[in-house]
Amino acid sequence: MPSITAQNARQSAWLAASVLPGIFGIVTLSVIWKLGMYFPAKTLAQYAEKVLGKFLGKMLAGIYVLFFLMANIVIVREFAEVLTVVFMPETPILVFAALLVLVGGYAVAKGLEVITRAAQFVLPLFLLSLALVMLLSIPDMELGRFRPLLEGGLLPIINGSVAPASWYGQVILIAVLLPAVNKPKEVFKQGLVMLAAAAAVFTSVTASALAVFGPELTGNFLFPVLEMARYVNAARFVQRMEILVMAFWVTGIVIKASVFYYAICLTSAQLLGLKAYKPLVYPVGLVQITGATFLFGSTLELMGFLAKVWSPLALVFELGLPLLLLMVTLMRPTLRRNTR
Amino acid sequence: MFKQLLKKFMGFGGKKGSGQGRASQPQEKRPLSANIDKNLQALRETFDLCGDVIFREFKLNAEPPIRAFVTYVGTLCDEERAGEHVMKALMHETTALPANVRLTQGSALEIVQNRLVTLTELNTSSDLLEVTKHMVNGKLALVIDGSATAIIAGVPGWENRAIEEPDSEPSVRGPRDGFVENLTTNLATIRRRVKTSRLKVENIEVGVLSKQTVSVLYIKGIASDKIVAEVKERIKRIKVDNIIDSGLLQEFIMDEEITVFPLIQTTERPDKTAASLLEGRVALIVDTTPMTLLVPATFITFLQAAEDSYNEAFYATFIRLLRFVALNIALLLPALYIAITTYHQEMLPAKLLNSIAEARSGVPFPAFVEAILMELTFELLREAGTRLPKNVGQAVSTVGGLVIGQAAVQAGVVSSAMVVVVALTAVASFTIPNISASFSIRILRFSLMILAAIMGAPGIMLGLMFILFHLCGLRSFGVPYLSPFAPLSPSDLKDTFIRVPWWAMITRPRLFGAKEPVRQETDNGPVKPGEGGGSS
Repeated sequence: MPSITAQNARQSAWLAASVLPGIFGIVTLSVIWKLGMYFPAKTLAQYAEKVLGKFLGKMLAGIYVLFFLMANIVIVREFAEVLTVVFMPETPILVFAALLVLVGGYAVAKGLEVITRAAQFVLPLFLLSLALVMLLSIPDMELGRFRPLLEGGLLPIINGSVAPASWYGQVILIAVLLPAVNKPKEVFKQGLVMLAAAAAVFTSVTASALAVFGPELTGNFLFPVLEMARYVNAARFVQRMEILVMAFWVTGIVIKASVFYYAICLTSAQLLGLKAYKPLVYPVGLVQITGATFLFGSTLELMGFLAKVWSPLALVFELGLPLLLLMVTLMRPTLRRNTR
Repeated sequence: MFKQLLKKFMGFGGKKGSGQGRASQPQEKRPLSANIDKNLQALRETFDLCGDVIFREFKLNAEPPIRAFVTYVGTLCDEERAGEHVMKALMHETTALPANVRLTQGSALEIVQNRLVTLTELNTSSDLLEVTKHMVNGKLALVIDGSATAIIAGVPGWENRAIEEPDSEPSVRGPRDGFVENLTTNLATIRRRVKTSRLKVENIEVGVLSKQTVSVLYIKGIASDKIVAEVKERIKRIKVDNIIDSGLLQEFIMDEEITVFPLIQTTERPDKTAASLLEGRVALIVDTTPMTLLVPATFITFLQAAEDSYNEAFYATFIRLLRFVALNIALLLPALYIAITTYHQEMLPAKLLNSIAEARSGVPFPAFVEAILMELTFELLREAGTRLPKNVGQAVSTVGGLVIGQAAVQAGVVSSAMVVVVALTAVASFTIPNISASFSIRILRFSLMILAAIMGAPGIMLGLMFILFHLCGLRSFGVPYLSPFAPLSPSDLKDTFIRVPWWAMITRPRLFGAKEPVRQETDNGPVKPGEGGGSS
């Protein structure tokens, strides 16, 4: 992720990674939260039907199923891509994609509670490993690499913000998860904390990659954080930490993929009017495996798709459509009153 | 998938509720008769061909003499006490009765009960089946002519193993007594530690063919009522011939059918049981079993030894962290060895890589085969060691040590690095205090080794995530298995990987001791001399 940002915003990538995308994330979060408050205990697919009517609502839900599906296919592919490119060049993409989807599917079949508990368990380890790598990279950092600040004016920064914004915009998932939350009122506050934490992590990762490698290399690397971990050499003994980074990155991706997986299953079950999403878990998994394996020809194709097509498109789904829903809701006072 | 497979094994389609087979025949009542001969006849028929059952007819010393008989399972009763307190009393001491009390057929039952038999454990029963049940439980039945009620007296007298140090959970510090095969002895060891009337002991009989007593122990007001009710519910639901060991009961009352993790804790230590009771957990003691079951169990309880509570807090914390590291080694080291030597050689410092490569240069097998070979050998030796008599076991370990340690390396079958890995793994797996937990680690180790051989480190990670998801989904009597980590309850972390000093353990674990959360006053901490008591 830092590499796409760095290609555009160069040495100001850390700025591009934080300010504008952060604002985007907050706006998305508030739109979704507002919608969630108007329609308590309803997911996106359910209130879309109320707001837009049966036909349009179903269509929107269908579009969101496709969006989540595509998002997860990208995640699975990225995962398999990193592992094959960096660690196991001879293993086919299919193997990793299938295994990730299998593990994710197991979690989804067990329910949201299981995923969240696992996330709770893994999060500290994940942050710790990232912090460790950054800490050990300090000797290699050179703050001069941040200068000159805002070299090309604001435009490159705005361009560089698109990819991270689509990443922050993944708070859209809250629209699906909100009914499962114990205290939905607190979600907004918690969401803000979460966004702030994500911004802090992402900014510091981008900043440290920049400080270690400079904008040129960071933009060229496929996976700058991994390279950073590779570069670490503390006390001539703590070397080649990419396995550690990889290990915890895998855990993070597994969690993320399972949440998206869950969103796909739940939304499509609601779209089809099913009582439980369990029967959908395996078919959806199969689609994901196939998509992740065959949709992209190569790593570069994936990167190009991510930077040029997917990120801008994701913005529409993450903010555009929910905003539309909110506006329609506000314009139809009866709807508001009835659902209160 | 496994569930369907299980059903195949279950025979008759595994249909629930349809099992009106032999195991659940209701037994109708058979009242005793007032005629002693009929009773004698009936009991003799019941215990036909039972060589260990003794019938003894005699006459009560009265005017006119009243016929009576005692019957008991000779091997289960103390003959001396039976003779002293029952026979002698009835045949001789009737003369000592006050003059106004006349022993007749009609009053015999009441007088014998209240004035003659000098035993504290005394009941009556007027049902033949109940009498039979008492007899096989080691009670003595006394039937007097003219009354349709039998007197049941407890004169237990069978051989018991003396209380010994628990073999499976030895400790350096802390009490040395362990549970034995006798329910009463076991209950005594716990009651001596928890001296309150709030410690409840509810006996439930399990088994259709042969009834086995299961004692449900909990402290009222601390243990969650819901969990206690659930435990009793699950025990009562069991319809099975017999419960030979608590291990059987354990599988009947578990939450999830298919998991390699123990969802119920077993212990041989009364002190651990008592401590668990005080935390709000429920203990199940099965008669004739030295292993007590503790529910609900969480994952972390398997890394805790009883001793941790008695040692100094810092030391206990250190040991627990060490055990956690050992757990990871036992689970992951062979898998990591395979992954690194096969796929990720760059991870190792150059010199270490050199020496491993050198050691492996003469080995004909890939790392995976080498590792599986050695791990299997080790498991074989371990199994042989446990099955063989102790003195022969010594020989096995000597031979095994030589074969593994020297000969295999010299013959070039495995590398010396592999021997180090296996040895470390073995030592690490011995540090896990709970045997059933170490079994599950051993099984998972092999699956991770396979994953590592196919997909290297990412494979291991995915395998671990699978295990994590599995663990997160497990519950033991409604309590999440990974608590207090996930769901996180920060105040309960005080007794997990770390152990804070006892005076800081203010509250009980939230998930099972929530009814009476406060365990002690907050100002129990150590005080400097001269400041005592002035802090609050």
